[in-house]
Amino acid sequence: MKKYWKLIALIIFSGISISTFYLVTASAENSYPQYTIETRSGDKAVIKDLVLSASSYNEYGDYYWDTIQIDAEGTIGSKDVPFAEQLDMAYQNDLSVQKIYREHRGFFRSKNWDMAQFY
Amino acid sequence: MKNFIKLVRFEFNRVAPVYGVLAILTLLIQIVGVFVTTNGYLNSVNELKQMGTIDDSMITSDIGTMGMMRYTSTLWFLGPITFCAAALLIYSLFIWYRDWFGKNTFVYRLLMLPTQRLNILFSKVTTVFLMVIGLVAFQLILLHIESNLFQMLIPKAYFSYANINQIIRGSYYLSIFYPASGILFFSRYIQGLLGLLVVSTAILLERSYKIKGMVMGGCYAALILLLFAVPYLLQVFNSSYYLFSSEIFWISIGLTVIISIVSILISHHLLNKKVTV
Amino acid sequence: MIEVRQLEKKYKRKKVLNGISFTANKGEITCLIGTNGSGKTTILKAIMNLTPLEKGEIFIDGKALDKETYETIAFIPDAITMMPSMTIQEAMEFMAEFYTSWNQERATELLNFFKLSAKDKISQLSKGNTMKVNMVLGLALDVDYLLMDEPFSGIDIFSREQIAAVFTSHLVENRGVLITTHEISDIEHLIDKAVLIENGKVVTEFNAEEMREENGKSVVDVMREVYQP
Repeated sequence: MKKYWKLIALIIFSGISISTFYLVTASAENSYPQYTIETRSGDKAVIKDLVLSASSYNEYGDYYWDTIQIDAEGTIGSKDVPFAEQLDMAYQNDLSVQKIYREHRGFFRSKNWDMAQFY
Repeated sequence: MKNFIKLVRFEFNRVAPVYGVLAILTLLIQIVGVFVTTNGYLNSVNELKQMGTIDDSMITSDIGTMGMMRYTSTLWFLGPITFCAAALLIYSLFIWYRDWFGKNTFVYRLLMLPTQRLNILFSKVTTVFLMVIGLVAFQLILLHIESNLFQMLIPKAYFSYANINQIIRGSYYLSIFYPASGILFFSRYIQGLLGLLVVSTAILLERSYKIKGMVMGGCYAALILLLFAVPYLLQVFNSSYYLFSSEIFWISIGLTVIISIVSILISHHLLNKKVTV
Repeated sequence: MIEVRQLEKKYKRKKVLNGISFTANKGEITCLIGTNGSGKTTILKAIMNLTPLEKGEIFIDGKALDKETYETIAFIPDAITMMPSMTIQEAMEFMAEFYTSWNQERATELLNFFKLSAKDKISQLSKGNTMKVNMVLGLALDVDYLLMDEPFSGIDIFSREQIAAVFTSHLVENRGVLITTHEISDIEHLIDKAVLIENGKVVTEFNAEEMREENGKSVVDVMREVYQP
């Protein structure tokens, strides 16, 4: 069995290195900053349905952090959302828009998905 | 199953010395590169200072800051990675051909083992795959080491910090090897495994049918690439979005599974009925 | 019994095997005789499923070939089959690891008989010694049948004597041996059955001892009749 040490060492090393990496980056600490909408004056209920859809970049603007949504409650980034929706956020940022796409999949195929073109 | 593991261990131990050299070379070149790059940068800083620019922010707006983000696009960093990738690609072929050619025909021994011949395929593919994963894991450690080295060597005023995640996202090549999530990592490397299976099937085709087999192998590989491209081609021809990104993802996972099974079945048939020593 | 039926095989448009049929029994030494390129090696490889056949069937003790076959037949080829970088010891460990029929005592006994050291590297052995190592690796398996491809070709006379001695020893007793050769003179007295092959067919097969006693002909005599009429 002593002939197995190289193989075992490699597997354990790789397993630890890669899983540590993904467990660390999966945590929010490495993603986007948490933005909140501060109530200065007026009624919070007004912005109940308001969602700001954004892409966040690092301080020099040279690299893209994440696609995020800010609403009355706080910030949601791609980590907070199921996997399939994460992938789709690349083209269709807005989660509520995504919901419409999914409900009417057939209608939306073969059409340009830029929301600006729909009324 | 036991024979499979014995064979993996055998194949890996055969290549372990060369593999170790690859890893050490990568480490040495990348680390030496850190020092060389730092030196070059600090020399430029000093030059500027001597020419009269003493304000740090003026210096950094002129020649920029230094850190891993810049380093990952240099040859010192990417060179060893490319070299290792090429070496592993070559070995995925060599691991088969070395047993047929050369002074010895070790393939006799492999084919006469009292075990499923498919285990020969699985053990070779698994060995190369483990070698890839090992270097990928090793590079992660090197990223930490190099990042810390930069932090130690470069004065704060000129140093741009980035955490490991940012370093990776900021480099096109690194983000290929380390996709954004665990699931994507898993799926991407499974597809790499499929690539190895397809290459092995093509090699077995060549070993069974010689030149005709090589052509068949080439066509097989080309066909598979085409299949994977179909979801994207659909979008091009429709000149709009036809499939959700998530749907494309699931389709390619499905394709990967199906083609893996097909490749394995073909290889099984070739190994048992068609291959020649 | 190894039974081979109507083997056909083409190689580059030429029919190397054109309907070969014969049997080799356990407890006997059967010799395939033919000129160079007559397909003898191909037959042995086909029995071990190392080369595909266009037509034909092969049965070992009535069963078709499968992975279990390799625990009942050992093939000793005319080639270096172990990695040159291995030592004889490592080659033996490889065999021991994968074959339940590996008999280490017998292997050591044979190594001593051939005066080889387990620490030698395969790459440094002479051709004669490499063949002897192949023999050790094959004979040390507790199998019922042994296939040997040209065990005497290209080897010096003293090594030949050693190998011939193995044939008459307890190491080969009770096993079925099928060998190929194109020079029969050394070992005529060792073989039981001769199968002569020409142009991909079996020309004649006979029991060597009977041929000597009843017809007064040696195997070489028959060969002359067949190959140089």
